[in-house]
Amino acid sequence: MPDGRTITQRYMRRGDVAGIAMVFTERAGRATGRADAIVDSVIYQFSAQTWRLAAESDARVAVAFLSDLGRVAEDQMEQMANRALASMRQRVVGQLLDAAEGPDVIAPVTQQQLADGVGSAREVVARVLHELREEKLVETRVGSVVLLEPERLRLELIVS
Amino acid sequence: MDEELRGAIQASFLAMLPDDAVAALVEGAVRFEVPSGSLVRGTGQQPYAFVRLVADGLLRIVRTVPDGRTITQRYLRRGEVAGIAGAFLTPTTPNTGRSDALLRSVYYQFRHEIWRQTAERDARVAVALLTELGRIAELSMERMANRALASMRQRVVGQLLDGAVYAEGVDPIAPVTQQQLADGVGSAREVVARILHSLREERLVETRVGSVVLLDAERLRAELDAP
Repeated sequence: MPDGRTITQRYMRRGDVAGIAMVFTERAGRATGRADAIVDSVIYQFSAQTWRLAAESDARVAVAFLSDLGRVAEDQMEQMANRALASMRQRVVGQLLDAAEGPDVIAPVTQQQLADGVGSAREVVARVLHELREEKLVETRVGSVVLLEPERLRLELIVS
Repeated sequence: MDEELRGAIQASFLAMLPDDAVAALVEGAVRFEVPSGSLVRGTGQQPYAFVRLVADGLLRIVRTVPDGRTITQRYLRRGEVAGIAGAFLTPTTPNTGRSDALLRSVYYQFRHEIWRQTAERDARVAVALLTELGRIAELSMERMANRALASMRQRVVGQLLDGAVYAEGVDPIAPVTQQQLADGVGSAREVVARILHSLREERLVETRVGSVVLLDAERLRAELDAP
């Protein structure tokens, strides 16, 4: 975001493709996305120019891109809507997941930073962290939070 | 092709396509003129089958999450096109978007089937659609991320706008209590009361029992896009 805060837009697993939109919008756009590997990963990278030329010369390719882009946009929009309408607990969990890095999945954030991030008071965040600790989902340290069960935390973000 | 449709096309991404390609896409276009407050598109089991181009006025697209709450995904003004992605999704994709008119509006409706077929046989059209879809996806994502990371004031403003009911000749009204707003933003009623107080002081809203009147919806919308 323009003010430097971050939010996870998408998780990518085997077979997922990223960057199709950028192939066609890069002239107007500025890169605001960053990607990192959460577990050991293998990725292949393709030339944007090659993909653009392929779409321009073969409508079947372009239509396949359209299908994928439409599907991905639809999924992401749904996730993002969930984030925007999330409860305070989900907002804290979301911030932790967004900030988490490294093989031990540590979010290097203080309670105050979390409170600023979710637009609430430090006491509210402390209460949520207490709950998460009781449920053995996280472990809190000075200036950081260790995510003990990142996969379960990710599932919490889905509003049902 | 009438003047109004031609003007709307000129104001849209379609302007960069050659005339023959545009003519193919708008074949069989249907014009709609609707008063403020009209439902343009409902949610339902049936997938939605149309692309829309706004010629005048203001529409919004609202997304419903599984628990029934709603959030505005996008506002559409003259020259904006909605529904491109739908033309390329599998026919079983459920319809979770709803659209209504916030002002008296004119829009044209085109058939998904025709857009898909035209893209399949003309790569220029397909690439133009990709570029526009990519642009819309990025913008919508940015707006939605803004909403997800919004301040408490922005969250309250967002709730008011999302829930607002529009009608011809009167200010939009959000039929919500302070408690409902507090539940919606995941905070206390006192926090919401404080925010409503500042909004009232700034003459952006007027509060009534059980509802909030939006005196300046345009300025409130602009607040949501501020970082």
